[in-house]
Amino acid sequence: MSYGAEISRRNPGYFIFLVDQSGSMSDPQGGNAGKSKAQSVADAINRIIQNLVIQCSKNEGVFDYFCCSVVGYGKSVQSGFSAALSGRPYASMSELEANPMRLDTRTQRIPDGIGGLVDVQVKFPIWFDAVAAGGTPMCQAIGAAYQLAESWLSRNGSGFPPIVMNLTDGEATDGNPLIGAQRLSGLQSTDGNVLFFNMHLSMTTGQSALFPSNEGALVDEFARLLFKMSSALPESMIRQAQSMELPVQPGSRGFVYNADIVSIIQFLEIGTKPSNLALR
Amino acid sequence: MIENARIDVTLLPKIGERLADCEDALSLSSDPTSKHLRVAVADGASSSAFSGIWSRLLVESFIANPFFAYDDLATRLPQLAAQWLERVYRTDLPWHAIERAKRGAFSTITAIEFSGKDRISWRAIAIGDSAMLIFRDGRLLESLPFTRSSDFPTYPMLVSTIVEGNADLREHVRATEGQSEPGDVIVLATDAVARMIFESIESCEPSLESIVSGFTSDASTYIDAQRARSLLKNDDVAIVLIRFA
Repeated sequence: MSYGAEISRRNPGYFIFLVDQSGSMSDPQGGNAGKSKAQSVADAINRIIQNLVIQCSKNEGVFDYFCCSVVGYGKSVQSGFSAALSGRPYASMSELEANPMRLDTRTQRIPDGIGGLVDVQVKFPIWFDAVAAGGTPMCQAIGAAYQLAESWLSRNGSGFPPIVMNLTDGEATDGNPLIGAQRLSGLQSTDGNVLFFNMHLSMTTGQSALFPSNEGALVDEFARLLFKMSSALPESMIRQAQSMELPVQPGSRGFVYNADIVSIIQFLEIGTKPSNLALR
Repeated sequence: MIENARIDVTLLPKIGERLADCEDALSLSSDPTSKHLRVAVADGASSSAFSGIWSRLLVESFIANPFFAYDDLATRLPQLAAQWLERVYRTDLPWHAIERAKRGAFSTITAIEFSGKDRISWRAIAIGDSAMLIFRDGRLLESLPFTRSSDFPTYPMLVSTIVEGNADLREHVRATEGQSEPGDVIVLATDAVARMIFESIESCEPSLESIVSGFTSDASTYIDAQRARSLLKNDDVAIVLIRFA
């Protein structure tokens, strides 16, 4: 139970993203006037997938170091993939890279090789748009994650365990999600238990929280519930987070409150990672 | 003595990957007059972009013009980084490759130069977690940059293509020098094999003789066997064995 299993193309990691698409997600996010929680979640999941693809980028191709599932929950609980991947329970990184919903064009400044910078038009993929409708069947979504994780573990029982990431405003409408979260976190590979992490977006303005080790500073009752549901970061991830100078300590949980969770995917080790590589 | 050196080299990718994907590099050359022999190994960090190109540039640079101190390396880094950019960047690169490349490439380098005719002197440099080991009469005589398996860091400081990545490099350069005698066995290896050799020294199993024999007979089969026994991590492998008659 060391969370030390190799993540490679032979032994890929597995992410399950649970995306809250309930009606309450149309409310603005605390401290972020004009941007809805649904838009913040869509931005976060797109950036997470983009960063996973970047992590898997090898020379000009994409290596399948990870596989991922996206479960949207709102009016219904269903696969969140769209376009060519619509309805798929999971997809590899190369499949995601090849099948975005659309491409947005952005201007990027890159070195020109002779000491200067040059502007280039780069197409960035978008896989998810903001959705906000219906209730918040979080318990059902966690149940769907349980099925997916159990199925993955039956095929990859000695690999790095699945990482489930729930992006939500925290107000479940179908029961107490803590019970399902504990059941889900009880699943395990020989390398460790399923990791259940949460990104909580709230209307409440005030201090954000990044990987706290206790719930003392959390004023929101849903934040405290999601903190309880969240797994402690394994030692290997704490070590990597500390090398990135992030404020984590033993006991820190995979939980962020009105903050960015994207950095968490860089806590995973794929091959040699230099101490001077700034992956922020 | 240099002209009588027996040199065995092995470069292998991880299990399931192609040699073209291997991010380790090695290079060696000897002066036609046999005044010197240079050997370098490097390990491009798999978590950075196009690091195989960077590791190859570093070993080629050492072989062409060796460096044994931070300042000697630092003065040539901008030019090497520019060469890396030239080989990497194209305007039609996919978005993820551009993003990766912007974060730079990182690599170790460990290298040695032997010189002299009757009496051989050597100078060596190491940055990162690739290692050099010198054995005499079956015992470890000298090693760089580590002396035991527990010295291998989780996150080594490596040579980067980006300026800010090299800000603290000076304090991580290790260099030493010495003299070789007939019968010495010198090993330069990237981290997976180097760590396995240190562990074998510490546990006296397998013996140095069997390791040398493994890497000088059928290295690929030997590496597969060590991986199967979990004595060798599934990582790229670059190893050079030099034996002076």
